[in-house]
Amino acid sequence: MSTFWHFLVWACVVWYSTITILVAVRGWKDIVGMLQRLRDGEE
Amino acid sequence: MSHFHPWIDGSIVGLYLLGTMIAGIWVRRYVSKVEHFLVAGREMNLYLGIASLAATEFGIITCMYAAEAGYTKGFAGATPGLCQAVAMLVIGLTGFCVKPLRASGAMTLPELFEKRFGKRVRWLAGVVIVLGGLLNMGVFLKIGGDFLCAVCGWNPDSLVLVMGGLLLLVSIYTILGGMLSVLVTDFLQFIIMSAGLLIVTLLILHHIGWERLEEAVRVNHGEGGFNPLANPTMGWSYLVFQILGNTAATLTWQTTISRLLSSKDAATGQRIYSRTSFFFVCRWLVPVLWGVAALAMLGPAKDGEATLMAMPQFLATFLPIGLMGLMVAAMLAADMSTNSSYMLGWGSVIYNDILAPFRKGQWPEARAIRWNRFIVALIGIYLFVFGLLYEIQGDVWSYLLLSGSVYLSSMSVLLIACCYWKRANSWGAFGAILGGALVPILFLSFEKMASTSAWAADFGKDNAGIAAFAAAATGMIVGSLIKPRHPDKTTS
Repeated sequence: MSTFWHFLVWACVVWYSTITILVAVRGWKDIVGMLQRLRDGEE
Repeated sequence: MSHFHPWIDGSIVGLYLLGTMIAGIWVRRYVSKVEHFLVAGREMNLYLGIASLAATEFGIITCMYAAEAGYTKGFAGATPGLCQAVAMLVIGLTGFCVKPLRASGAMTLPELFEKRFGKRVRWLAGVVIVLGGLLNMGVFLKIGGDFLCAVCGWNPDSLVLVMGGLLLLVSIYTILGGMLSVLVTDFLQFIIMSAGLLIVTLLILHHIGWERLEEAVRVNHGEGGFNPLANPTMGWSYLVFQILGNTAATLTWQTTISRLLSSKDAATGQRIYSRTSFFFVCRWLVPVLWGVAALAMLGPAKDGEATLMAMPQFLATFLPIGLMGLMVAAMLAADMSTNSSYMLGWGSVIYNDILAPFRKGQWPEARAIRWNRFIVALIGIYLFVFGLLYEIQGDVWSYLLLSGSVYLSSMSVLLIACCYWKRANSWGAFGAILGGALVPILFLSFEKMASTSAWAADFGKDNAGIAAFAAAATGMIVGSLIKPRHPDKTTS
């Protein structure tokens, strides 16, 4: 069981690092798009 | 003695707070309708949804109870995270319940229930959701304040000031910008929080090392520190309650489903669920690792010592100046995103469902937004007062899951029946709500009364939680079956 948790800890580190970079880039684009659509809806 | 440096670390924290407040207040200009305030005009896309859901579901409270689980149960303490990750993945991939929920166009669960079970069920469901949610959230602010005082080395007497300051900052942008401000600040908070969590975790793995962490768990908890079924404080009833509770939370927890309901469409909502699922393993395992590190460095708790405070006490002396600032900023980010979403989540149910019968006709948008802001402010005051007055018995996670069960049990049964059981009706809905709410509330009351506290401790929170789900399901089945079918043409 110890090996399982050891593997899972490193899987978390790798996955979390990757998703943080991905979300930082793509999430920003999502915000810009969302605000743009809301602005367009008001006009 | 804490390593927190008032100027160096304080400046990092101050910079983060300034950036968040500017961003949160700036987007308020886009709020012109209630739909913008409550569900961001349903314009949220996939990656913003992932950031927001992840930031919301990780607060200081999460870090504290998961680290406490790591300290007192070893790696097996991360079991709830695994249960929720599996639930998120399966529900995200299959669309079980969440697909019809998003397709219904409802802003809250009770709004969906009204279509099937009638107005009274909607109102009662709203009351139960708010009751369970606020009981659950009531301890967040106090525990956040405790953490900050411990890691920064501040006098515990300053807790009230820390709680007040934290609440004020969160309230300002949530009240002004609603879900739009919450989403934008969640994005910034996710990045700060993730950077802090990852750096501290890597530092622990590098400086303490896996062998020492594993040895600490083996010496203090034996095989039970790795396997929940071999742990005397966990076992089958713990596991069953975790599976039930975490699945129900994925389906019905207001702050989780509000991300689904704010998404562009059902498919985007499902993708947010499936792609965020592994985050729930990280959400538990990262702080559990911090708790295990506290165990390795500080040793087991002595009689009367608070196990909840072991992790912050360890971090206060483990991290160097500079990184302390980043960690505190990360934890503040985590806490602010959680508190803002929760305030808005429960506020939306109060406005949308509990106050619905008292609103004659359609309110003008400006008036509706003003009421929502007022409700969020009231929740903030409640958080402050409840946090100072209520003392938790036992470990924090068990309290949170059991108080959440006040509504998790009944609402999950209602949602499943609403989506997939044709015979389900209003009598069954009332039965499920009453059964699911009564058991946890009675149990929490028994815990507080001197004459019944010993019995409550013996029965255990896990069994009480399972009983709540059983009572809700029984109430739904019996109530639906005994209601006469023929005179009922409207199903409500």
